[in-house]
Order: sequence, then structure tokens, then C-alpha cells
Amino acid sequence: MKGSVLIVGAGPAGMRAAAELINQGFKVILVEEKPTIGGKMAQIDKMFPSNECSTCTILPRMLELTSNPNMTVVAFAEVKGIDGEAGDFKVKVLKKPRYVDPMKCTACTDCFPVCPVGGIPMEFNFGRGAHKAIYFYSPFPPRKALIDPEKCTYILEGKCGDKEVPPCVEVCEPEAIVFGQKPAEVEFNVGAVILATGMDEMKTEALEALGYGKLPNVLTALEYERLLSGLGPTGGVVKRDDKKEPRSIAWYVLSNPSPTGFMTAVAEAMGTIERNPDASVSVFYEDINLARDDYANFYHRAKESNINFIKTDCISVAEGEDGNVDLTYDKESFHAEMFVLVPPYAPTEGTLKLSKTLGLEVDEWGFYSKKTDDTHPIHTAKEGIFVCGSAQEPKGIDDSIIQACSAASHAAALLAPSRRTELVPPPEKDILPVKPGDEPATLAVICRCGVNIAGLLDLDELVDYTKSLPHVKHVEVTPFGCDGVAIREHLKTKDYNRLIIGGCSPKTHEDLFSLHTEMGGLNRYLMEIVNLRNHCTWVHSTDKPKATEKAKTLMRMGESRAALLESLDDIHVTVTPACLVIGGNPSGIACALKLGQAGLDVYLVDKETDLGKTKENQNRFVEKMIVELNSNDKVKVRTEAKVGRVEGFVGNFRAEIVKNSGNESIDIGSVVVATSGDMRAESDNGDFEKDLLLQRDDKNFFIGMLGILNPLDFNTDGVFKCGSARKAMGILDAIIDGEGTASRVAGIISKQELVKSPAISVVVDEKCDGCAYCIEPCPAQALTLIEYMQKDSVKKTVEANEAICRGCGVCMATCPKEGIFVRHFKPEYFEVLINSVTGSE
Amino acid sequence: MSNEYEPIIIAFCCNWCSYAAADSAGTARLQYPSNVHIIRCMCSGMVHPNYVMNALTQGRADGILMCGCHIGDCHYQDGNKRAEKRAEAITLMLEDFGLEEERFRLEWISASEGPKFVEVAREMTRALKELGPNPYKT
Amino acid sequence: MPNIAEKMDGKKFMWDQQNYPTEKEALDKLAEYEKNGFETRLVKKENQFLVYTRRVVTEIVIEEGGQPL
Repeated sequence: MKGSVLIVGAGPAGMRAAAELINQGFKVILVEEKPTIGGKMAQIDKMFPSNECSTCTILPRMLELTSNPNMTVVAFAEVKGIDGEAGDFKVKVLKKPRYVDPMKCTACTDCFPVCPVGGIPMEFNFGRGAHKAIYFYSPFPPRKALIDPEKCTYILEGKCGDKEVPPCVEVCEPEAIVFGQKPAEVEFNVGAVILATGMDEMKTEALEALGYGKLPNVLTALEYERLLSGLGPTGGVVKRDDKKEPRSIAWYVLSNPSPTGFMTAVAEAMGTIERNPDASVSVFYEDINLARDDYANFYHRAKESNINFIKTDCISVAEGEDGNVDLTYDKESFHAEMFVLVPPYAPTEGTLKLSKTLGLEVDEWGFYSKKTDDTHPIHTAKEGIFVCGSAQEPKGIDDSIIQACSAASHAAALLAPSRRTELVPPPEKDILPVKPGDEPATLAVICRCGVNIAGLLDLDELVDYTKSLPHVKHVEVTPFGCDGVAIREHLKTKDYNRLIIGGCSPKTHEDLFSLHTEMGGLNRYLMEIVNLRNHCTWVHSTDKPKATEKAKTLMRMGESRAALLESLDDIHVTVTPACLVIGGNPSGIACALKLGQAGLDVYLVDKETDLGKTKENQNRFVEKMIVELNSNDKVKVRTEAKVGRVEGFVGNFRAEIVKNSGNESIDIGSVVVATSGDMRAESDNGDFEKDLLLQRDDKNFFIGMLGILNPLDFNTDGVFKCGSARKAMGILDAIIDGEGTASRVAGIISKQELVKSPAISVVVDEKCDGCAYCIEPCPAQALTLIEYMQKDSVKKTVEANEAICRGCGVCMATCPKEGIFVRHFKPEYFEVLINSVTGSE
Repeated sequence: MSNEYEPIIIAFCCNWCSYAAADSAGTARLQYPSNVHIIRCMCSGMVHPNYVMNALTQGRADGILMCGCHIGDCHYQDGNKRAEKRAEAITLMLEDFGLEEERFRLEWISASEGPKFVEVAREMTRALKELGPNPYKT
Repeated sequence: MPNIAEKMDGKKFMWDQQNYPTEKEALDKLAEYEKNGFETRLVKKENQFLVYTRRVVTEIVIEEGGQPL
């Protein structure tokens, strides 16, 4: 049985399923048909109903995933066939030719300016904005160039202008361009497959009848998202193709069984009026079906923001003056300078192709959706092949995330015996011991980054200056620092105990440079990245002397911080490999069952005398689950019981199960709250809700962590919620919720220990006087005030819980006594950075 | 040329949103004055008001820009709300120290708002150039 | 010099900075502290008897005029 899973589709659902599975000990291959990952989520500006920025939310997750050695991203590829059976599938994947070797391409972009073929409409922006024949598909990873074979003259005709050698090849230092590249078929041997191929806007005659493709300034909702996005073709300013900024914009939501379309219009209208409060913004719709409280709240907010909502089932469109669109509805007329259509959703081409290739059942629209009550929505007819997200049925992002977690739990339950068998072991490292008092000996590596840095700065001046900085022992200039060659070679001499890299951004390269640093034998926390590219050469490119001056300042700043850095070790928190599920209803039962099937110990506590007694559980699906549950020896069901006190923190909770026949004290690593509103703990038995800092809203549902990607999480680490504990939902949704939560839990308790970054808070007891200013502001509630005896006096100090501290630094910035600091972000580091900007002592 | 005053702006940018915005301004090759120097923090809530006040009263900069995530988007839930409170206090303290209000600015900038970062950088540089050097500069 | 703070059983304990010539004196003090609601630990280190205590404060009172930012 294989310990790996192949996921098709790298949108929010695919990426989340990947992250969940890697976290539970399975290797993941993520296949994506486009050259970059992110799906529709990478194309939209804000998400409903939270109005969060999509890019800010997804980019950190993408970077975490793509730098994980247990994740293989195969972008620009298609699944051609799946043979075998659950536990042992052979998946054939066809890699499309980029004509660029992704292992060599460093994303320096030297090739773009020299390519003579331009003006190619950007597919990622639905035809707006243009690119050269060699280009990046989108701003998202994998950041590797590709060549359009239908536009590149060298591929089409064997020549490029009048040049012997195409200019892109000439400028490419890593020699990454490979015109002879052919499609390549690879086969992956995995234990399970998850299909997450998403949805697309349905573009039919209905749209044409409303002017799409006929009148200028009629767009679809996704096209409009690209105009709202700061990474889009207009830099986040909504502009028409004639460059005019529209002052009146109308949306029309075509009839749609799911609320996704209407909510999309609401989100776009809100995004528009936020940027331009004077704009006239109207949303026309045929019907609304909001289904959820949070959707309804978002809609009400929008109504209060001066957005007009007009219900009509009869709207017609005519060309107006100056490219405007004249709308007529119910005998009224409306002039819009831009008209946005929100069509219903259709399965992607990828889904349609794949369902045929694999012979999988689809519904009348082509989604992997079952209409019978007997089949689980996540299952397909083929055991071991699961579906999730909008490919199953159009849905919002948070629902896609929950289904992705559920799919992960199904795959994990199937492959439980082979957990961790295919994980890549961490490489052997021989790290130089460096103590805080040691004199710094700094290696400076300045990256030319092709021409990105070297092309603008006076490199000689920068090198000379860097040599003159205190503690710098050697300056090495390298064409591409990211290949690690210069870093490893020089660090291996063991002559240096600090490394500064004059290069690109830590946001994209910190993990990679940390890896090179450690492979060279130096603790990763002794490395400092100076952003000479994104924060200097790329943004001050018209003034070489000023850019060089600033580069010198940035190096000086970086060097001053590097000198103070300390060697730090990761934190290890032991984990009790068990879970407590509170609430024997459909979601609690589903959660406990998936955990038991995954080979993990779980306690399920319910107040009834029998799980079958609860009304909701009298359902075919649930009854079957109860039978399986009772025969799974990993699941310990405690009926006629309540949960009293729960003490501890993630990985290390102790809970009291209260029964008339006597209490039971259990140790667990994680807690799941699956209770309905009425199951409140009684105060004389202790209140787990208070102990775990759980809060309810005015409808009695539990309030969780902020953020659309965290629907199942509480703010308290290691504690999760599902089903009717978090909102009203049907039984099938509650089951999927519970299964999703099982995946969240398994990510913790399937591990022997949690490893986390040491960049968390440390109390300086000599300075802390227990004023407690830091306690309440801590967003993670990781700080506790304690009293102690010191020479017959009672003193106070703060205890920081390193398992739950997240290193945000709010405590450090609140403290008036320098009594607490965040490792790797000490106040003195900020001081020297500030002081070194002007270069004066 | 060397007499022409160039304001020094220190921008504290939070790792998750505003630092990424500055990065994306670079990717898009948007241009802004080299007067702005970015210091990365994990959260806008990590910036102690003393950093700002000391930087200004010790003449280390002509202006300080504090950038964080939009309210509701903070990676740590509500660290930016702390920053907002401190910004209010800093604004009051500036008055006490005889420093003009243009010398401190708080902005919420999301990862995809590279253009906004650039706009703020340009505006603040312009405003500080007009205002003149920090009176605490020696 | 003993550590002022020690983590024991996953919890932070603080040294009382007193010298106890015998184990009995240390244990007596320990009992006294426990009567006052402190959790205690006795650590024997290089012929020294070290007493550590802690007591979690549940009601946080910010001093009058205190201005946490």
C-alpha cells in the first residue's frame, strides 16, 4: 500500500488537501493543468463573505507548500489515465512542454525584454494585458518562464528576427531555454487520488444576448476581478478597455441555484465602492437564495454601503453612447459605463476531460455530483478516488476547504497503515556551534540575479562598501545566489559565523536560502537576507546612483542586524496521540470514525444513553457509521457522559469525563467540539468552554478563528469545531464537516511531536515585574501571570507558553520594561536597523 | 546637489501583507523614491511605540511609516488593532515633542496592493520634502 | 548560580533565592509555601537544596493609570 496521494487541481481545494495530507505524513503529488497554481482563488480580489484579500491569504500557503520537500508540484500537466486500485494506483501524467527547463530557470526575467514577439493577450487576465512569447503565466508559483509555441517565431519558423541565435537564449545565463523540449509522460505510483479540478464561468448564448462579446465594456465577473486586483492588468484601478474609469457599474446575476453567483456580485460591488465611494454601483438579480447567516450579513452590509440591489427577471441590453451600456428592466432604463455579468458555473474543461478519461459519473451539468442519498459526496464510483471542492458542485471557498479536509481524511483513513512510509527524511547537517559572545565573522554573498541587480547597481562600489562594513570578512558576487553554490562552498570553510545575502525577497526565498545555509553548515537564524531587488533595483531603476546608495544603506542595515543574530534551535512540543470529541451527533460521529479509521485513539463523549437515541442520528448514513464506530477498537465511546474541566494546551490536554458512575481523567492532544447549542457544561463539573477560551455568538454558535481558510479551527490551538457547533447545517454537510475536522486533528496527533519555529516570545525574569500589560493583548492568549516567592516576598512574572505563542510580538511592543522579547526579532535588532539607516553611530 | 535635502523614511512593514505589497510593487516595476527604507516585522503589532519616537527624537529619520494588514486580515487575528491603538498614542506624543503630524503615518496595505504602497511612498516623500528635515536632526 | 526560572513538568517555576543548609529546612519552607497556595518543587543540585514556587494569577488587575498600549 502506497503512502502517497496524487491530487489533480491546485486551486484552494487541491492545495488544502495537499497541506492536510503532508501534515498527516503522506507524500503528495499535485498536478495542475495551468503553468501556475492557485486556481480561481489566485484570480479573484476579495473573498465573500469575509471580504478578505485573496492573494494575502493564499500566497503564504502556496509558498509553504511549494517549499515542502514532501510535496511535488507538477504544473502545466494533465492526467491521462489511472490504472490499478485503492492503495496502489498508477497515474499517467503528461507534462506539456514549456520550452524552458524549470530546474534551471531562476525567474530572473532577462529574457522578457529581448523577445521580439509581444502583445499576446494574457490568459490569466482573460485577454487583458499582454505578454511576450516568453512569459510568466501569472504572478504565482511556480515562478518559471514558458514559451508560447503558437506565437514564438523560432518554434514556428526556425528563426527569430534576423538573429542566428534567439536573443532569449543569448541572455539566459543558466541556459534554461530548451526549444527541443517535447511533451513528457510520467507515471506516479500512489495510494489514492483526489480530484479538485474546480469550476469555470458558463459562457453561453444567454451571455451573448446580454451583450457579452458584442458590446464593449460588458465583462464577466471573473474578468472584473482581474481589474480589481492590484496584480492585474490595470494595477487595481477599474478601467475600461478605452482607459476610462467607469463611474457607474452594474452587475447582473443570472439565475443560479447556488448563492455563489450572487455573493460574487456583492463582493465585487463592495470592492468597487470601497475604492470609489462616489461610483454608482447597482446589482440586478433574478432571485436570491442566501442560505447562510454570514452571507445574509454581507449582503446587508452591502445594502448599507450605497449599493443598489434591484430584483428583475426581465433585463435587456443595448449599445449606448461612448461605449456605455443601456439597460432596460421592468420599463426602467439605466445607463452603465460598465456591465458585469455573473453567469452560473460549469465544470472546467479539465473536469469534463478527466471524467471521460476515468469513466467517472457526473451529474447533468458535468460536476462530480451524486444525486442519490447512498453515496458520499466525496466518493466516486472508484474506491480510492475522491472528489472535493467546486468540481463536486459549485461552492464558496470555505466550503471547498472543508471538503478538501474531508477528502484528506478519507485518503488518510484508506492509507493509514502506510503513513510516513514515503516521506523524505530531512538531510544530514553538520552545523557550526556559535555562541552569543563569539565575535561575528560575516560572509556577504551579493547576488547579481542575472541582470536584475547587476544590471542597475554599480556593483564594484557596492562590493567595496560591503567589504568595509564591520565584521565582513569576505564578499562573494554570484550570478544566482538561489542555486546555493556560492553560499555552501564558502560556508563549508567554517570561517564564517554569519551570512548576509544581498539578493531578492525573504518572502519568496527565506526557506530556500535557509536550506542552503544549513547545508553549508551554519544555523539558519544566523542568515540575513537584504532585499536589493524587489525593494531597490526594481523600484528605483531610473536612478543608478540613488539605487546604489540605497543598496549600500540596505547592506549596512542588514549587516548590523546580522551581527546581533543568534543561533536558535527549533522548539519541540510532545504530543499525546489521542483526541476527545465532544458530542455524539452526525459530525462528532463522523469525526471520531475517521480518526479511528486512521489508526488514531479517540474518545467520543455524549450525554445520551445510546448514540442511536439522538434524533439526527436516525439516518441511514449515520446509523451505518455508528455500527462501524462500535467495531473500531480505537474509538472509545462514553455515553451518558459530559465533559468537565479541560486543562493544558495543544498536544497536552487533560480532560475530565463526568459520569454518574464516576469520573474519568483522560490525556489527549486535541479536542473537537461537535456539540449543539443546548449541550452546555454545568458549572459544578467544570466548564470546558471556559477552560479552552471558547466563545459563542448571539445565536449560540461557537466563534472560531478569523479567516476563510480556517472554518473548522478555534483560536485556541489544537481545538476544533464541526457541524451544528459552528452553524446550522444538514446532516450530510455535518458529516463532511466532522470528517474535515478529523483531518485537522490528525495533523497534530499523528505526530510524536510538533516542531515549531523558535521565533517566539521569551520572558526576561530579571526585568519582568509582572505588571501584566502584555497578558490581555496577546492574540494567542499564550501568556500567564504567575506569582512566586523570592526571599520572603511575593513577586510576579509572566510565563510564556511556547507551544501556543505565535511570535507576533504584540507583548514585546507593549512591555514598558524590556521584560519580554521575541527571539530573532529582539528590540536591539530594531534599534540597530533604525540607527544604521542614516549610517551615523 | 548635496545641499538638497532628501527625507529619510523608515517603513515598518509586516511580513504577511505590507512587506509582500512592497515586493509586488517591485515585481510590477512600479517606481517610487529611494527615500523609503523598509524594516520587516512579523506584525504591525510588533512595533514598539518607542522605536517610532526614538527614531524621530534622535533624528534617525524624517518620517516613519507603519504598515500592516487591513483590520480583519491580520495573520495573528488582531495584532494590527494593537498597532492602531499605538498609532493614536504616537500621534498625540508627536504633538508633545513638537513634531509635525506628517512625520508619522499608519497605513493598511494588503499583499496585492503594491500600487497603494507606491502611492503612499511617493506621497509621504513629497510631503516630507516640503516640510523640511526633522527638527531633531543634528 | 542556579537558574532563577526552571521549567518542570511543563510549567515555569521560580527559585526563591534562599539558602537552605539542610533538606529538612528546605522541606519545611516548601510546606509553608504550599499552605499559602503555591505549587512547589525541591531541586537538589550540587549539595544545594533549591526551592522553586509558582502560583497562577487568575484575576489580572492593571494598576490605576496603567496604560498598556
